[in-house]
Amino acid sequence: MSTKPQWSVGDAIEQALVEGREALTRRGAALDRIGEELGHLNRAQENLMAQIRVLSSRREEIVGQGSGIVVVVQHRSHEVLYEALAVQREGLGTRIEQIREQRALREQQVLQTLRDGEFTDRLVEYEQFKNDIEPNLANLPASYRSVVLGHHQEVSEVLANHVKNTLSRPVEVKADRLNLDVVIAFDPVEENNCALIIVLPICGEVADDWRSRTEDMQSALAYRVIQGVLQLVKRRELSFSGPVVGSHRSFFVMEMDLGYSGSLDDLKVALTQQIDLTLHDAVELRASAIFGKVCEVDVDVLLPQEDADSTELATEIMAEREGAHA
Amino acid sequence: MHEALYPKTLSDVAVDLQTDPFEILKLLVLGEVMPSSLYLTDAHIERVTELGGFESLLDRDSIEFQDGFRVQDWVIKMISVMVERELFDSNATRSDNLWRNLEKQEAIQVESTVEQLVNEGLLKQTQSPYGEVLSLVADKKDTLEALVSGAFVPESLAYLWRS
Repeated sequence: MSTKPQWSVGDAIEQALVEGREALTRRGAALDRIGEELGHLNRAQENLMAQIRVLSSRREEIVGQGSGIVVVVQHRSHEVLYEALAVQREGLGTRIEQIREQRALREQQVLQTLRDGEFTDRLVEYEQFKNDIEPNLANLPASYRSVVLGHHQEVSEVLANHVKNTLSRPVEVKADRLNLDVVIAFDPVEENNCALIIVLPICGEVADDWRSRTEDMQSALAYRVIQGVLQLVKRRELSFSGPVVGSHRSFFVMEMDLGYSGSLDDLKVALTQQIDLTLHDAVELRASAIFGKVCEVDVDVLLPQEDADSTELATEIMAEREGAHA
Repeated sequence: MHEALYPKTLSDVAVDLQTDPFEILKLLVLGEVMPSSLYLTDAHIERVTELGGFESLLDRDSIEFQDGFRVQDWVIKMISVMVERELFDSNATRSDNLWRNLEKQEAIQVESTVEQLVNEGLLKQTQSPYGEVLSLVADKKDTLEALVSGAFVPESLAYLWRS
């Protein structure tokens, strides 16, 4: 029979105290380890939060740049659009010179045919009237004046018929095809109502100084484009106001308010087709190898916000026109 | 010298009718008389004149001005012509017919005075597809006749009548 060592109560208590101290030491060590881990994790969390703040801020910055980039792209598109129109206008200017030469030649030829042919006597009478009689017409007795004027009218009519028949035919020019853009933009104002804005590669003077300008292919392009718009207005019985014409960045610009039923996209297609067709059928443009084609752009590209909105443009045009007329 | 024999352009016709070529173009297209070329024959011009209602309501020589043009004399005579032709309410005439064939400054004066008469409610100005038109207000016929006879002067124009 084994015997247990003899334990005194004091030894037993001492043993218990030793075990208790050891347990406390282990606990303290465990708490220290956890505290250290928590410290690491807190620092890691702070780092992550700092990174999140930096990235969020960068994200907002990049989002904010989006509208700026759109504006930059619009601005650049606006600039290159007018640069392209300027090049086209220059090309048209060269073509107009060629046409002018041909036209002058034709005028000389028609007058020559009057001098040489069956109209010789009448042309002499016409020129005598213009040179000698007309300046003194007021001095003639009323009854004689009336007879003279009546006769001159008859002579003029015969000559004019011949001249008009010849000169109203389009001037043919042998040259390369000249492509021109008819730049259009739509600005929806309200439901079923929009402002149509058209800029052409021709001088703004066509709108403002038409009294002092000789009509040429710049005028012809403007007239034919407006004709196309009005033909659609007539065919579809659209409500409209205008057109108001003027100058924008030295180019010819036209604005017209259009009321429509159906969709705006449908109107865009119909208008594009009609203008293209009218330009295609224009005898004077075809004879000069000038080909116009509609190019639709965003209204913000044609007239960026900082330039003017469509209403302001109309006001600007009206003010310019009133100024020109005053 | 020979230009008078040449075909008429839109600008030529616009000058003759005291309007602008874009107005002529509008009349040609909406009136469905657009020529294939951009030159106008006498028939086109006649049609445009008719469609646009271009006419001279008053001949400048029909008034003997003592000391130069007096806008009130012109306006009174014009209103009497409009009353005579019964240009009331919907029976309107082109606005610029009221100052057609006048010198530029004279036309501006007439236009401004007409605007006052519109504000006074004696004339009515409306938009037609062929441009701005004017008519007399039928309800104000008595007042208009008093204006013509000299028995009435619109308050806003009293200063002009006194001059």
